[in-house]
Amino acid sequence: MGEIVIQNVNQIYHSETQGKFHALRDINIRLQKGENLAIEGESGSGKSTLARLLIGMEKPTSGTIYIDGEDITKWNYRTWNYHRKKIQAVFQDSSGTLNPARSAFSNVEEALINLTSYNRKERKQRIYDLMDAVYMDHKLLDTPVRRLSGGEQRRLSLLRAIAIEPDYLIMDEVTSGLDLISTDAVLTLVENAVKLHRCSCIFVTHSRKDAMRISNRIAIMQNGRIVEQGHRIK
Amino acid sequence: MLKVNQLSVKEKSDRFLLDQVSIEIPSGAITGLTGHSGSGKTTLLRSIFGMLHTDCQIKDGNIFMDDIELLCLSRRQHRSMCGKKIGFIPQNPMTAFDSRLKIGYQIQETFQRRLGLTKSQAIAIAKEKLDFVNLKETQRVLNAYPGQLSGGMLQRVAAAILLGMSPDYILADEPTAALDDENRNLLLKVLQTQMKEKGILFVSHDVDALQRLCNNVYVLGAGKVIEQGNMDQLLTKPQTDWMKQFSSLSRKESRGKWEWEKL
Repeated sequence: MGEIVIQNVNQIYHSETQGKFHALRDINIRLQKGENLAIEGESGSGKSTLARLLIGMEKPTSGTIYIDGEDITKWNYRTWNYHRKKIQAVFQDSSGTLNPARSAFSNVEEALINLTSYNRKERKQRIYDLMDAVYMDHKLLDTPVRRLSGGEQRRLSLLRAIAIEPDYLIMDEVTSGLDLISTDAVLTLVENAVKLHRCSCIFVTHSRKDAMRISNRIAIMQNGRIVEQGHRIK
Repeated sequence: MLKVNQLSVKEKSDRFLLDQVSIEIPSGAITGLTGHSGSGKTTLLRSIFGMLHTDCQIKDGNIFMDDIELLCLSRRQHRSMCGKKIGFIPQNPMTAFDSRLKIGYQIQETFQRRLGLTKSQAIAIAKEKLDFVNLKETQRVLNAYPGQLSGGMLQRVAAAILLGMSPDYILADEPTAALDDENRNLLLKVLQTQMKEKGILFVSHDVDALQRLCNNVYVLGAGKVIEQGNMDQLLTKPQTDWMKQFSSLSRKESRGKWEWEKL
């Protein structure tokens, strides 16, 4: 219990135009509660596919994924909705996960209304605290999301995921395209989330430096396989 | 030379996104642009490219490309320059392509319309340029829809289109952000060698790339140019708080030793 176990996962795509494409081959990963794992690899190596499987956006062609002892490949839409507070994801293209017409505040608050029991005052305070943590100006909260820059949208999307205190956080290239200071803020926020809520993170990245900072274990992917693993020596 | 002179851009809500920004992008050199997210980097590129959001307005200043004042052109004239005279590598490649059309069709259509090539010529150039940016499975890429390729692959497709179009000026908006080390080095090499006669504005947070490629780097902060100079100079003698923090973080190394195991 209290862990993610990925067993012999394969993902094969079939398309009329491209034929058969093996995106993931025999992936095996075990992640304990409160542990951080970075997945590093070149573009097209299957990192994002693995992240999509973990949050149920796709089902694997074969293999199983257990979260807290339950096989998530068998979960239906309703079960996923029920567990949404437990697993949160932040993706590379964060603009697609935010409502561009609504304000930054309303985008974050909606998640807090639906998935937590905070009252209005507590919600506001939580959002303000997290905005400070990622060096974002409070004035931006009234701005429609479409007017925020790419980096601001990414930080807002991460802030929303962390605000509801999930047990598992899946992050796909959350620091790519951010400046060093914003990257530092984002990584510190993730480190604090891990420390305070014992949240487990899967951190997909192509930056070795970020991977080494955020986690004690790194799995390197190439052509859909994990080809190398590294861990920090204490 | 591409020259931005005292450019100010305002939002409908009266917030200045750019405030009297002046930069010069000479031909045959790579000019760097960095700054925190939301500082106005993308707005500056959008202004040059004539793609500002409808709720933003240019209040003041001008943009000269060689002797042409871009802001005096009609939308149609400005549009006709895009691709041929000024090229763009977008920050978010996912939204730069039409998700309903295959990559091959989108490249071929661009080359046919903009360069006046036949279909077979366009496809031949597309294959050659894709190979150049290390997308070796050219047929798979050409037959794929944008959603079937990773972010890094789409960014390289955008670079391949640019290589084919060969514009005089290139605006590269964080072109290495979604790339792994190998492809990042390859793209930097392509920019340095294949596009050395062009005037390139390289927007990035990648300290190493800015050091290697650019003689002159502009730093934007809250819509203004807050510092300018050589990257080494900016890092060793930072003038502003933001640059001081940036400089100290760029020297920060990861902690601890690592043990690696091949599987």
